[in-house]
Amino acid sequence: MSIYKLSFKNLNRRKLRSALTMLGIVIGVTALVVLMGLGSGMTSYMKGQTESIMGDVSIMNSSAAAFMGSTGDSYINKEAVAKIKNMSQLYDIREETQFQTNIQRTPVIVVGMSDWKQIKINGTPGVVISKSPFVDNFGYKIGSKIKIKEEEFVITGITNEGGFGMGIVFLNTSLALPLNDNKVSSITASTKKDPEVVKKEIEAQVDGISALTKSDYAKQIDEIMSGITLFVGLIASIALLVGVISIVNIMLVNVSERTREIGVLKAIGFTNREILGSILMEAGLLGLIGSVAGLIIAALLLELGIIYLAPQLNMDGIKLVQMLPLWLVVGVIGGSAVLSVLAGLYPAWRASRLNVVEALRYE
Amino acid sequence: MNDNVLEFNHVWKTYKMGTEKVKALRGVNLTIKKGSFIAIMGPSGSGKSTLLHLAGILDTPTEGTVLMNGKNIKDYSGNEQAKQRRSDIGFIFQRFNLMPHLTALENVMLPMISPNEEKAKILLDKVGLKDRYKRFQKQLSGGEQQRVAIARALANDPAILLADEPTGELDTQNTKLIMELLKNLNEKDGLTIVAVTHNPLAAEYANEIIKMQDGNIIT
Repeated sequence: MSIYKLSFKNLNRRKLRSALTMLGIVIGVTALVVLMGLGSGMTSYMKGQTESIMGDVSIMNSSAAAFMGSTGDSYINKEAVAKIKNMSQLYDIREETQFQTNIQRTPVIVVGMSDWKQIKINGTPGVVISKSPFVDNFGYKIGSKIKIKEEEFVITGITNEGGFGMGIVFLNTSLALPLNDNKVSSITASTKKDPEVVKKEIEAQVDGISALTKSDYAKQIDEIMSGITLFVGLIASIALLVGVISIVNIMLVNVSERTREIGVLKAIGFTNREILGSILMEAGLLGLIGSVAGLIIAALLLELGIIYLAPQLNMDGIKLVQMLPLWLVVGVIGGSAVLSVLAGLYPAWRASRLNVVEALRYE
Repeated sequence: MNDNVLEFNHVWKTYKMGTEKVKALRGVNLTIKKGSFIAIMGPSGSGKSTLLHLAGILDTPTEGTVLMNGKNIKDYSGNEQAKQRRSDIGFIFQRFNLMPHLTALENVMLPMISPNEEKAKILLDKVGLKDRYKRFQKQLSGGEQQRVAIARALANDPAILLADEPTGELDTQNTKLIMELLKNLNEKDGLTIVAVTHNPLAAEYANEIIKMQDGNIIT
């Protein structure tokens, strides 16, 4: 029997103590993985959505491009629109429009939609209202008539999408454009050659506009989400750190309690290095087992989130694998094990330096 | 070929107890020949445990030399000392010092340089614990625990067996059993044994009794 096998057995000796020590790691890892997993999953989901709904390039007024194509009230001038529509390197060109107006004396946003895959609708596309406030406050339903800028439309669908508290009406672009004096907020299009090259050509040929490719969007999503994910990850890491500190504490207690045993191990011929290794292994195992358990719990929580929360957040189709990428799994398990081994360094060093004669006399 | 397993040449050992220096051994000379069975007796503080610690390379002398198989134990590095203890020295202790969470068999296998379950079973059979392989410390009597400790001490076929008060926690019947077992190992296997004891009954089993007082061998 090797001394390293003894480390496994030592974990079993005081099951409650080992379990409670691992609990700190389990909680830390669960918090870290759930929060990082949410960040990672949302990033992946948003990138996937962007990939599937937008064309190769998205063109908008320069001032609107500053924040991921949020068009607001900035429009592409008519000459630019005409020029873009005539570009030979573009096809499947779709104009989008967006404006603000009042319905029932409440400010709402009207969005011209050419690609209805972007939102989840109860009903059919055409004239779709957000549930809040139109259904909740004003009692609109499918088939009701709604007046936008003196024009009357029949509501064909309802969506849960909201505009940060503001109501939204989604209209076919062909209906929305005339309501907004044919002003175009953005244009999406497919390209006949490398989108990056086309993007540069568009920006060079048309004044006052900016073009964003899918990779630009992906980069911006990455930048924003990685910042958020890092921040929540750091907060969750505090819980993991507390768990790791508890390993230092418990291993010091273990070493102190086992002073005589360590003396016996030395007397029967185990080297200081072997003693050091066995204590480090014990600490590492606490971290490893704790992190695997934490990971499993986190995966279950994320899966429950996917089943019960994702549909309400219009994130259908998000998968666990997007929330638990390999780097996160390997990083958390490896990181926890390494941190736990580091936590065991001082107790292990103390154990290995014990004077064998004094250790044998220890009561 | 040198027949001496251990040689103590003018060995002094001084400990620091707070600000005071305690002279545990004062110029001890002793030769332990291969195949001998020596009992070391003496009152508490006479230096017999210190002598055993030096014999077991658990400590090194302040002055003088301790030679094991002709080599000065001070010349060994810490790592070499441990390896020497594992391969050439068997220890048994007053309190048995078994690993409580290991079975008798696992305790015997623990120090084995090449773990061998069959050999561990043979050793347990040899000390009369044929049906106790899977028992834990708390399921064994004191005498049985000491027999497991003896089997563990024999795991790597040591050149010398060092026993520190091996019967200190045992009743008379078990004392006799353990000492008979040691006597057998000495006579049949030629194992060199040095036992520190307070117990005259236990000492009787040795071939030679050395008495110590105030850090010196007096007989």
